[in-house]
Amino acid sequence: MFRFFARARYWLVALLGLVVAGPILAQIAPKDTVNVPRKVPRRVERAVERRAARAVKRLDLADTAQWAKRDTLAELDTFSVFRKLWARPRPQALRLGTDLTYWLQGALAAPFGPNSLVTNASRFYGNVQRFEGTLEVPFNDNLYFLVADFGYGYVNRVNRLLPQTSFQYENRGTFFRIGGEINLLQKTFDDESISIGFRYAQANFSHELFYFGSSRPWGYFYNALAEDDSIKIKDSFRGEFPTEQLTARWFELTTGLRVSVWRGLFLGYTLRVKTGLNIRGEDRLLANELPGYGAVRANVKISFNYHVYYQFPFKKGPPGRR
Amino acid sequence: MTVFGWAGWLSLAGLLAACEDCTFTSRNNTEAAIRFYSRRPFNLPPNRQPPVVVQNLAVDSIYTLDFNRTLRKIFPVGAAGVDSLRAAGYDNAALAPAFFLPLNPGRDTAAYVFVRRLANPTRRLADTLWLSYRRQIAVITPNCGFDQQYSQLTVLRHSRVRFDSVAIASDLPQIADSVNIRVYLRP
Repeated sequence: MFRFFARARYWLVALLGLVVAGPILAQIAPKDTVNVPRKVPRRVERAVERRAARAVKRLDLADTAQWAKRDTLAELDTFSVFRKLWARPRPQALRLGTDLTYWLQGALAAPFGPNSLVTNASRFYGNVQRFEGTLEVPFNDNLYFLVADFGYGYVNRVNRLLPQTSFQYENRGTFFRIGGEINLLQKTFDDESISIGFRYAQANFSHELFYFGSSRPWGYFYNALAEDDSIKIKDSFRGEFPTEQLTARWFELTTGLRVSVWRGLFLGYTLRVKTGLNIRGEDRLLANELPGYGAVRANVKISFNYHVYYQFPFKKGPPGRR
Repeated sequence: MTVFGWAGWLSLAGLLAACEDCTFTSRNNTEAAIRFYSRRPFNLPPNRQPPVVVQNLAVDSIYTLDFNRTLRKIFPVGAAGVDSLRAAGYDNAALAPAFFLPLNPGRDTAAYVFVRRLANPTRRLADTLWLSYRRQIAVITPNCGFDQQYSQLTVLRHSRVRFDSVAIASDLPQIADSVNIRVYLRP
């Protein structure tokens, strides 16, 4: 039994090695061995890839010699990646884009509800105004990008269901995110990319809350028999918590897809895992929403942005390797 | 269009199905639990202190005292339009009663008057307790409403007619708390 577990440890290490090193080996191997010239048909490329995959499966991973060989290869490939990343940066193009999520949510979030699309949109944009612009610069044959997002957010949350507990929360501010992404499919595609990256984000905002409170032991109560609405809420107290010059910072791990759909037009999404939120300046009123972050509820938040970009190449020529 | 192109359009369709629900349960309490005990003998070291005796019939009525000196009876039966105070175990002599004092949502301080009737019906003993706390408010969603949190509960001052000393057991009133304020009575 002990020997079984002792061997299982090697199998586990081997499996982890495959998971971690596999994609790296596949994508960042030296150019002369993997980068097949474009003249070779696609089906031939795929056949070669399938044959290579079968060969990798046949490897005896418990064999020390094989492992030593793989480690050496991995080291070489790691160095090649660093060599590429530290090579002189060659910016290729400038991509300007915007986030479609914010534009589409208001009109299409409830397409089958009782309201028309126009009504939904008008109500949504009356209470929520968000804009986000994105600037991307791909470098060194689409290997990595520098990304900067900037935007504005205004949220007005109103609850008027009950006069004694109604409230209005307003939050407005600006935000920016800055970071980078590494393309995992640089060798496979010219302009398209599947990337992972990180962002540092900061929002500067102010928020305000007006509300009516009700507490019978303290004389704030709702007189349901009064006909005049102003009297009904007369005995409730009116709370007001304005707070300005707040700052929020957080970090994001991102993964995304960029697809060239027509000439310089790109579509793509970014999946964000936001964490490390730190809000400075909060006193009595705790933030409900942050520009660029969304609702503040959990320590880790996952969100999704759908972008449309237009690419302005720095050099003219065929797409891709400029 | 490539597979990735289709993936892009499909993810756009998935985006439109996104929605937000309201699942929030607050543990914050808007009331501070108070319990009455017999006075601690201060001349004894902590390891020789006798067990604390809870005073079951410590008060006959409790009032809130507003900043404009308005008294509102909240225990045992509130005045017209005023809810009675929550009291746990008061009717059962075997249980230690705890009173739940509603904190003032409009101010950062609250004052309460505790009245104890004597055998002579014309005589009463009244003690006043001033509390201070920090109010914080957070909007959850328009449908969920907002959540109020009272923290940093402290005793500003108290009279000494029957109250000997007042201690804060827990300065953050929460739903599961058994007691936040301990009042030690004179013998």
